[in-house]
Amino acid sequence: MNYLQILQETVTPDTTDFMLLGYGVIFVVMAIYMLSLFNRTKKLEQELVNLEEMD
Amino acid sequence: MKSQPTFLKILNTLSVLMVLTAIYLAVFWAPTEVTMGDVQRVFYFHVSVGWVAAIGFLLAVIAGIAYLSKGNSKWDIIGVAGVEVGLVFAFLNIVTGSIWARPVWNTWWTWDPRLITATISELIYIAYMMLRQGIDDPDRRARFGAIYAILGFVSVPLSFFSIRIWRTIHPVVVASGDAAAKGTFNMSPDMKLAFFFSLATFTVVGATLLWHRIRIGNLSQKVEQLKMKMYE
Repeated sequence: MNYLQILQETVTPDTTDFMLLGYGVIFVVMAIYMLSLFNRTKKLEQELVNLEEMD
Repeated sequence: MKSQPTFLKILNTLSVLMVLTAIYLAVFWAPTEVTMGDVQRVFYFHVSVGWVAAIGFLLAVIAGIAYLSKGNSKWDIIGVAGVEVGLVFAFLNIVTGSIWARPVWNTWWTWDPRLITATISELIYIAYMMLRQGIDDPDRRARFGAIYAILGFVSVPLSFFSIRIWRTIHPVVVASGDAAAKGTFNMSPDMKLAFFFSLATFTVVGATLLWHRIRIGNLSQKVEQLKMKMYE
């Protein structure tokens, strides 16, 4: 293998950890947001039931 | 919990199925990019979440204009839902961009036009949520929200076009970019499939979350109205 070929050869870097980190962040943040939506809905529904009973 | 509309239930299921398929396409189907390695696969979701954020902010503009012309509070509920969902996805866009940048640019953050404008946009909408909470009168709050959402949207196209206007390190993958950009690559047909499927997936996920957020807005309005009625 001559020097030119060695220079031209591209070695793919191992960046799997960063990929996993990226996907991990997306799913963790989305899970937290969905949980927040669920909790807020539940809390408001309960509050509405209480207020309707009082009304 | 009250029963959800049938179409929302369908959207919930469709979102899960599409996300699973999108992961398969992005991680296993699309080929590994030679110069960046696996981290390039973040691109499929990075762009898609940015797209959903822009749609959310655009929806807030449309709702803002509708509220100012019609005065119906349902538009305020839609507007705030658009901003909230947009904020979550814009945050993900910035964070995943930073993670992608670390091995490619050798830094988590750089003062690049795209990164700056995207962060300014995020901060503008965080301020929107904070300022809204400081206004008690629902009509004033809705009017303020509508005007702010319309004016604040200027930051969104500015962020989108920043990599096309100014010299930047950020790659422009979908169109030709700056020669100084680092991380540019040509999409193969398999990469294009993964990319466009991710875009469709996150559009469906965004619409689903938006619907859930609008339901919260409606519930909150009912609670607020009942409380006011009881105090009178």
